[in-house]
Parts: sequence; C-alpha cells; structure tokens
Amino acid sequence: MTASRKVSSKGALWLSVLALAFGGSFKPSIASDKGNRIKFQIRMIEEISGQRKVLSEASVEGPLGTDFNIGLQSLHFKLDSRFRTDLNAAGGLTVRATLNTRRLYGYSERGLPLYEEDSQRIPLQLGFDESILMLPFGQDEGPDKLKIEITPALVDGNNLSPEMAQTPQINISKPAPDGLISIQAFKIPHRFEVEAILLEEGREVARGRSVFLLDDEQKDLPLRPNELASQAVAEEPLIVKLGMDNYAPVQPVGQVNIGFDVLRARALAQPEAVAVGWAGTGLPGRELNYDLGQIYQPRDGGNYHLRFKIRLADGE
Amino acid sequence: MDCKEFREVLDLFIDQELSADGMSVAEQHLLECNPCGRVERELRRVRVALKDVVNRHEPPAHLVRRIRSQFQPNWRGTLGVSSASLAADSMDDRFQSRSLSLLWRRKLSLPVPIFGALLVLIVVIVVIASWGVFRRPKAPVAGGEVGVRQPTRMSKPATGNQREADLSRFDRGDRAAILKLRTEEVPRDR
Repeated sequence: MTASRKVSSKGALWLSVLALAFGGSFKPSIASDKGNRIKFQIRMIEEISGQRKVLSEASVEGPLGTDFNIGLQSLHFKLDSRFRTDLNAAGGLTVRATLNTRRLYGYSERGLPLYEEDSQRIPLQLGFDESILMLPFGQDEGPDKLKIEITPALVDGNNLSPEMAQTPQINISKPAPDGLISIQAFKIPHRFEVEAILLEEGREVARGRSVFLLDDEQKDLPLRPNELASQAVAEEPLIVKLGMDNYAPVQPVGQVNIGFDVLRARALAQPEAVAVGWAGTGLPGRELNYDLGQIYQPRDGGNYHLRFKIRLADGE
Repeated sequence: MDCKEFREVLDLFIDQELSADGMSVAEQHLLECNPCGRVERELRRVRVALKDVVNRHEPPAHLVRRIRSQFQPNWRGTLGVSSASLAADSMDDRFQSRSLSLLWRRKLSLPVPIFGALLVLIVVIVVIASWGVFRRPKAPVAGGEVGVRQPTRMSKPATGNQREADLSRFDRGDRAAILKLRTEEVPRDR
C-alpha cells in the first residue's frame, strides 16, 4: 500500500491522501500481527543564529515496514530521500536511507544548466529512543541551518479496522511554505527468499537459500554441494553475493531487481571472482537462469547453469 | 660616270657602301655636276631629319601606356594608378589630366587569390565584431571554473500563487547528511 502527500499551503493537498493497494496479495508482516503500527514524526526546522523555528510538521503512520519518502524542492536545490524501515530482532528499527541531491551549479557558455548530483545509501540501526536528523545542506557549522528531524514511535493499532491497520496515513499539522517539502508513504514487501541452484548438465549439484532485505547491502549466499557434485565443485563451492533493489509493484505480486557477483571459494585463499556485476529482474514465484558457459569450468567440457528462485519471505 | 649612273648609286654613296674606286668616281662627278650635288645634299638633310625622329628616347605617353597595357596583367592595368602609367602621364600633361579624371570610371579587377584573401579577412573582421556584440555577458564564475555562470533558478517558475522557496541561505555546497541522535536531545518546540 502506498500513500502520498505534498505538504503545501493548499488545503486540498493537505487533506488528500493517496492510498493504492497492490492487489491485496501481500500478507501482513509478522510484527503487524501484534497490532502495532509505526509512526514517524517529521519536522522541518529552520535554525537561524541558534533560534529554532518549526517550518513544517507532519507524521507518517502505517503498519510495521512502512516506508516513506521526503522531498525538498527549492530554487536551486532538490532532495529526494527514501527511508526503508523494518523492525529488527533487537526491537529497534533497521533503516536503509537513500539520499539523492541535485544542486544547480551554474550555466554553461551555451546557457545550459549544470547540476551537481549526489547519491548516498546510509544504513542505520535505530532505537525507539533515537531520532534521525537529516541535514539537506550538510553539517556545515554556519549560522543558518535547515534540519529535518524524524522521530519514530510504536503506536497501538488494535482499535483500527483490519483494512485501516494496513493503510499508511500522513497527517500534516503544519504545512510548509511554498510547497517546500513533500512526503510519501508506502507499504511494500521488504523481505524476499532467494534460492540459488547450481546445475551441472541439468542436474542440481549445489544449492543455497537465504532471506534478503530490499535495498540492503549485498550479502553472501553460499551454495552447498550435494552428493552429485563433482570433486572440483565440492572442493571449491560457489558463493553468490547478492543484493535486491528497485521493487516495482506490478501485478500480481510485484517484481524486484537482483544484482550479484559469483565467487568460487578457495581453501587457503580469498574467493576467486567468477562473474561480477550480473543482474536481472525477478518476478516472485518464477525462475531466473544464467548460463555460466565459459566462465565457470570446474570440469572440462561441463555445462553449468545458475538458477534463482525468488519468492516473498514468510510474513510478507 | 653620268648623272643617271650617279643617281642609281647615290644611297650607297651616302652610306659609304661603294668600293674605293666607286667612291672616287662618284666624288669626281659631284665636283663636275651641280644638279647632282643639290640632290645629294637634299638626301643627306632628309636622312638627318629622319634620324632625329627615329632616335627620340621617350615615346608619347599614350603609346607607352597602350603598349604596356598589352603586357601587364589585366588587374594592374585596369587599376589605373600604376607607377608606370603615372610616370608616362608625367611626360604629357594632357594624358595625365585625362588619366586622373577617368580614374573613378575604371574597372576594379583583382586576381582570384587576392580577392579570396580579402574576402576571408572581411569575414573574420565581421565575426570578431559580432562576437563581442552578441555573446552573453559572463557572470561571476562559480566554483572557479571558466565559463560557468552563477545559477539563477533550477526549474521553471511556478505559476499561479505557488512559488518555489529559496533556500540558498542554507546552502554552502556541503553534502547532505543523516545523523542519529537521542530523541531526548530533540527540542520539543513548536
């Protein structure tokens, strides 16, 4: 589910909340079964010579795993930030923040605009006694600062209907001047189970399985050889270093991009790269096949394929 | 030698082309014949006069100009102010005044290489002049790089009552950042 709102002075925009259901095929997350919801208080602060002034205040509330975007648009500067949030095992929040900025740098001799662009991925582990401080213009110690403070909290959603409990909401208590800031909220699947299978002459010789978090850093998925594996495969098993991003809510269950490297483990040395920078778009429930062809030949003349099976993790 | 024979060899006698005996016989006849003596003197006078005319070193200016024009490139001749023609004109005031009076009426004709070079030079001058007139004024340089003007705005102007805020007072070119802080440190202001 998703909700979108632009914090502007227009009353109509303030009151509009766009919520779209992705086919209703996603199960509620594990934590949402407890009836808890997550709430993020978002305040934009102008600090001039130490004097704080709240320019805008809003809140995003939704089921656990609700994501939100904060956009900032001014004459010369644009910020697009995305926050993927998940409850972690420690009872806190795992936040994967992505910051994309675009700053007008000047104009060329031909009058074309020149932009300075920047993109950052910032992972955070956050407790509920902690807040996120976003500084669109950096940490410069100048007299004037613009801050966006994001404070998370768990709220009780037991009094909501099941449908409302799964719906993100945006409440704006103080609009920003000139539509300066925009906020969107989403609820999309974050956790996907990926199974990687190595095939030799069409027969499965190694397999690995793990749950991956959307927009998380790449992590290793070792493929464990079975009894059919040749000695070469068994002695130097493959490791898939995989990451997932760019979830798209296409029907019926959405699609997700995977990016991966394939490494071959060495007994007494660093793993050897077999394939680097491979990628694909996977539909949960379907397979992705890659021909390792000439790049992986543990046995001369062998025909090796790598197969991925992706599905939504339990609780999604 | 009689008069008829003398008249036949008179040119040779004056040119002293006769043999020694012939010269003696002709001189003897001149001493004896007055009519042949008059004819001989008249012929010598005519010859001197002709020689004066033939020996003149400076031909008429118009003749010099006409002859030289046959051997000079057309562009130089038609330009009409060559030093040769002016020198010739100086010898004859009539021709000089006529030449100067017709200067403006003469055709201007140049060889292709010089004409092309002049054309290129004119084009270059025009381009340089127009470059200074039409090019955009260079604003103060941002970031110390040549040819980059300071920004004015990022996107199209907002229409209606919606306008874009200017946050440039906060922007000192730093990279956006995200920090974590304890919630109790966040002021509860409104």
